[in-house]
Amino acid sequence: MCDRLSSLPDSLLLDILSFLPTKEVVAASFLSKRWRPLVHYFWTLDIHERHFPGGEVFVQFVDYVLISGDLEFLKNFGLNCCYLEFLKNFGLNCWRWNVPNDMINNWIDVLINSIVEHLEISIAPTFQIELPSSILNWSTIRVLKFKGVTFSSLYSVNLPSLKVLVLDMVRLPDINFLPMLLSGCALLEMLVLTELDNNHYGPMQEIKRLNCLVATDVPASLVPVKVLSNVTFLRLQVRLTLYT
Amino acid sequence: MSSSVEAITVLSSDGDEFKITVSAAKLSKPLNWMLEDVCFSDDCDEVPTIEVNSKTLVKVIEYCEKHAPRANSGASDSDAEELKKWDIEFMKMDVKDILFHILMAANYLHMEGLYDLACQTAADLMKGMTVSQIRKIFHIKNDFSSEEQEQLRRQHPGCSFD
Repeated sequence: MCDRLSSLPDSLLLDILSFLPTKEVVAASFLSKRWRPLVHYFWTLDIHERHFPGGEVFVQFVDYVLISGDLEFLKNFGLNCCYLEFLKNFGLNCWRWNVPNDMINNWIDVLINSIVEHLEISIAPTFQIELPSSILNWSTIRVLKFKGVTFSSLYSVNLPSLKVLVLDMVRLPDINFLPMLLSGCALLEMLVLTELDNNHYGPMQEIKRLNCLVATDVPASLVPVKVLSNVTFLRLQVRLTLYT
Repeated sequence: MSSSVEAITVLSSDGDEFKITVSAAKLSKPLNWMLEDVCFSDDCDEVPTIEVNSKTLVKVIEYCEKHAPRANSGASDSDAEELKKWDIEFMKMDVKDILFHILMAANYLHMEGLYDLACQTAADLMKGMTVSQIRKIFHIKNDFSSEEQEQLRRQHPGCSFD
């Protein structure tokens, strides 16, 4: 007897799985190798402002999801469901509405205690959202992508599992933030720094060599080339000043 | 297409002819486009083929004919209740043999109602079952090596694999 179910295309299997509670979706991923990758769709929660009519609803929604941990009702929003305990990838995108900074801090506390491995936060820089430094002391996180946020001063960094770090339009508190941040990312493989708001002058601490780094896209003024000596894919942003 | 035509003839992928009323055919977007584009009047001898086998097409047409009156006119709640019961009876079929053909056909014919019904039916068969029971129902072969299973067990300590 042949296995007709497994021969269906991914999109159909995912639609079938979407009728099941998430715990059973996870169980379905143990059926065979064919089913294993499907569960990844359910491990991802990408909360984007486009799903919501207004800022208040957006904030209430994210708060309810993360604080209650009940993600079953996400289906109503056209999002795949997921129990927080299985959540691996989390994304938050809000450029239209201001989200209270203390709520973001609460959410990050929840995420740090979860098994999330991939975190992306993108918020309009005009809201000046300052992320707590606890986000940079997170032993299990593998991918961090931040856009538009501000960091507070650092006292310690411990990101032993971090492989990918992307900072875009991020405001750094002081000149030594970057060297300190990178000193806590021993396994970093990919580093992207674009449009950093880093208008601090003065001597910067030396950035230690990142031995695992294979791909970078960084401003030459911030990261010395010797730090990047192992890199296979390199894009250096060089600012030219022309004198006439 | 002349408005006097009430039923059209289509061919299954096995080459058998089937009649389907115009109102029922409207439940499927591609069939609806065909109705608009292609000549279905009596003097037109071109019969469109639907890439669905005869056994499945019979069921799909049965569903369409049952749901067409409600889809085209809107109906009372009691009708909706009745239709729901009919759907459940309709889906009592040989899982391995026809359910997945129905699922594929509903997907191909863009029939949302039937597609959701088929997905729900397949999901219901998995609900509350253990991994090995689901494998048995759908004849899914466990192709994980014992090392891989051991690794999965370690990654998901709270889950049962049997």
